[in-house]
Amino acid sequence: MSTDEIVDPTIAPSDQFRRFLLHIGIPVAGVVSVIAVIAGVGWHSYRTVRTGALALTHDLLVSQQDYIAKEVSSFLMPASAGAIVARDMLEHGAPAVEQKIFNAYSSTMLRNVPQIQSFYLADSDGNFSELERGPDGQGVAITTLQNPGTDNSVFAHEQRDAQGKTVRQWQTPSKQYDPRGHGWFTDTIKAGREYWTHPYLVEMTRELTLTAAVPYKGLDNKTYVYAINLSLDHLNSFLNSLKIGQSGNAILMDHDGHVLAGHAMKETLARANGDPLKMVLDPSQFPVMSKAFDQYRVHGYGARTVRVKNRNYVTITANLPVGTDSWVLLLVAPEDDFSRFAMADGRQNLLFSILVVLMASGLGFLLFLQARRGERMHRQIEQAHAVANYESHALQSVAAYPELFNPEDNALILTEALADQSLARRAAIWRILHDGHTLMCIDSYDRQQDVHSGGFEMATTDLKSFFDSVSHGDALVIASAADDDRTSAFYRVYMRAFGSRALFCNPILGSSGPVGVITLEDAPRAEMVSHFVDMIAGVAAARFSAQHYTAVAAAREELESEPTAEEEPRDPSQGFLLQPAAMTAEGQPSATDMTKVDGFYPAVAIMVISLSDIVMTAQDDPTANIKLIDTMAGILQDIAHQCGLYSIRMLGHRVVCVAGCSRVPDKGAAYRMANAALMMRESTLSMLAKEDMDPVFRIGIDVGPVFGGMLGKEPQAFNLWGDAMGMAEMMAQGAPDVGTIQVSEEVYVALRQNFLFRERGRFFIPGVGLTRTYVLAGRR
Amino acid sequence: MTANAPLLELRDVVPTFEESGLMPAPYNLRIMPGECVVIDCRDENRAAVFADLCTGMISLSQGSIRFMGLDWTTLRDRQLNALRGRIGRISRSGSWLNLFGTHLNIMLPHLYHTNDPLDNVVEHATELGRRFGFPGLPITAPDRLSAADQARAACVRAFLGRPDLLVLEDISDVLPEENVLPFFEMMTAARDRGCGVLWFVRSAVAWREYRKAVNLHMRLLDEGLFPMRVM
Repeated sequence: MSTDEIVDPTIAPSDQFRRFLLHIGIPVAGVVSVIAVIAGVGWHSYRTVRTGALALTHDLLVSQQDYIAKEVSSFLMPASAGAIVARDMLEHGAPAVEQKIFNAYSSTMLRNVPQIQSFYLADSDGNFSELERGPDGQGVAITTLQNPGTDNSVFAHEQRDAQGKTVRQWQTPSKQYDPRGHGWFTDTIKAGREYWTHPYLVEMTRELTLTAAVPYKGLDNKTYVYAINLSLDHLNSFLNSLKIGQSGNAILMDHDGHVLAGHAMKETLARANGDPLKMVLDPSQFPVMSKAFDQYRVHGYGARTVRVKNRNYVTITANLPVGTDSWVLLLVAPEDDFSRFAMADGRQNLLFSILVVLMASGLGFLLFLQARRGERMHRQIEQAHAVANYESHALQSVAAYPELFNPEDNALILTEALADQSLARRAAIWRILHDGHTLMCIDSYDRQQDVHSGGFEMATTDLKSFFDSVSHGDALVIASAADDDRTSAFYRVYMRAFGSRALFCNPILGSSGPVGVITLEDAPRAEMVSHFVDMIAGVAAARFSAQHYTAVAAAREELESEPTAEEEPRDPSQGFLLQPAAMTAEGQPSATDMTKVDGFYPAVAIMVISLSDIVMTAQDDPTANIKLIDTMAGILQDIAHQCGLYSIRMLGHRVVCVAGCSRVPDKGAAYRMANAALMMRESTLSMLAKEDMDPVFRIGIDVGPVFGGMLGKEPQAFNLWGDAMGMAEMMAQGAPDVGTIQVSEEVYVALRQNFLFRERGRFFIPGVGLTRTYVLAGRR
Repeated sequence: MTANAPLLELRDVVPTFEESGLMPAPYNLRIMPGECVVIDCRDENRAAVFADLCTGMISLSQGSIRFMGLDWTTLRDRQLNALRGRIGRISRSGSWLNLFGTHLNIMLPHLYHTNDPLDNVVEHATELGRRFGFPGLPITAPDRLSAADQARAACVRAFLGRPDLLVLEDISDVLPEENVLPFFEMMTAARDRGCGVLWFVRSAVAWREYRKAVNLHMRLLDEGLFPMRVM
């Protein structure tokens, strides 16, 4: 498994969602359900209380209505009963005493019944008498129409005090007053029985008045009408004084919607200018009553709820019989007046519920925290278990390594176990050699690359401070080795190339002090597994003590065991099939001074012919091989001469041809090289075909800057190196097929006019970037 | 997964015929870490389906396939994908995304499944590319590459990273001869690291050179999977 793997498939998928549900979902759901239950109970309780309150309200209003009905009946009854009694008295009384009976009876009634305003007595001859209260409320005032029906008819007024004595008498013009022209008289005669007029406004008093009249036949066979006038002000005051709920009202209306008394009387009267027929409710001013009355007109009497402006009102309409007619009693009260306590109760309950919910939420949150904590602890314990298991496994595998204490064995498992345990990028075991001045890397393990290396030596002179720390047996934990004085030198020498940053050093202590050091680079868990590192250090110390030879001695032994070179010293320049600068650009021999070839060449064409290892070594007969190669070398030399190449050199399996090795760019170099490549390919192919061999070579060409010069002591060797050399080799190595010539983009650009190319593709080459490569197919 | 456990184990596996077209016979196969199993199958489509079967991409009507100790059928998508990320595969059909350059096709699985820095991946891929005969890391879209270069790129893609199992379909006919040796080298290096190899071949020629290093030779026929003797 790669250590860089993002998802470890061996770990079961995270149950994060389930845990989220368990730790958050359930408490939240619990709290929500508690809230829902409380809200539901609260709502139900509120509804129950409200319904009960409304039922109670209804009962209350019904009893209120009964009470009002009785009050209104008792208000009207004296008129009704009084009229009947008066009728009977007057009907059977002599006409001579009729006036006296009227006066006596009416005065008595007027004194005892406050709502009676006045009495009328009129007959079919136009006689008219009126009895009313005195101006100061004391006594009575009697008005009699004299000379009725004549031009000199007048009203004779007589004011009497409480004792019946005449206080004042006077007359006023009657203006042809005739009772027979008035509704209360004619309608009563027409009805022939007790008759109640519609309310009307009395001009004099500006009071709304109601008249109950009764007709009778006198002994003189004349038809009389006895009328009792009631002031509705008393009824109005009574109705207004009623308290229905907090802000409820009562109103008395007739069936046509005319207001008779009660709430809204004053405003309605003002709006109607005293005309009783216009005294109807204004819906804009009294919307609730108007709506309640409309509902009554549709549905009839009864209790119901109306909703106006988002507010509920309880209304009750009842029938109130008045004589032969009947009135409508309308009671209106806001629902809140009665159910407000239920609302307040509900609100209080809600407040308590919120408190309960808050407490429950708090407890739920604590539960959640506790669960998270528990889980974290559980995870930590599991992790600790896993680490312990892993460590014991690692220790077991180290202990089980059969050659652990065999100094001849490398015991690579030590560094591997160290790197695995500490997650270090690289773990190394170093030993202080017996000379005391050299630190030698016994084994170094690169965990990412999974490779071991070792054998580096570092002298104390280079790493004095680090060496001092090591030889003192200090354990170092350094986050940035480059910035620490003790390790900066070690960092430069050993760590920088690798790219590590942090360093953990643990000394290896022998019997007489530190004998080495374990280094862990970029090891995040190094400190956690320091005991493990100590154990490995102990093992390493034991191994060191078992090793009786020094690295220096071993190296000497190794050197001595190597066979001595018996080959004759060769001239390094012998690799050249064509000596550098032996030819001019035109293919003519030249005599260039080789001492002047050192330096930079801006545009050199380099061709590398790579001969396949497999085929070259597959030939069993070395003599045949050499002959083949010799022939090939001869052909290549000829072509190089022919094309005027700068040099051609054979190095192992490669043939390197150079052209255009001049200080100024030689534009023809690439052309000559491409020609040479094609010729060489043709010749080599035909030669290999003759030998019945498959093509075994690939060719790469590049043009670019190189450095060149004569190197070493006599005999000096000429060498070229630079980007073009590397690229040409790369082109040869990476040619798409055997026998093909792969060229770089620069060569293609230079030669596309003269040669045929096939694009191979685009490639990313480190250090160069994106480039295209082309296969040289032939000449145009 | 313990060291001596099988890397890939097919135990009485019967794939669904509708999905695979494979004979619904019980298939048994066991690859230990570092082992190389050659499966001889002339029908490249059948080989591809069997490769899919081994990588848990075909539903089973019976049996179980365990890779690195994990049963494909018990894993969820995230685990499945991660586990498949441990497999290097050469697909006969190519399986290239031509919308992207070959370099992305090569590196994408490794970049997707690991935290390996891009520079490392590029370096590793370029190095592998060179080993397989590219001058660098090919950028051109896969469909613009020659068949030989596509085969090279397929090798680079399969061997990139540190796969635990190599499922290699036969591309010996398109892979240039000089790449056969790097192919064997890479395969051997991977096996040394503990990687198992499931190698589908169509003829004995393809694996003749490597015959000595093969642990198990099997033949995938219409009738099922049969073990052969490694000559």
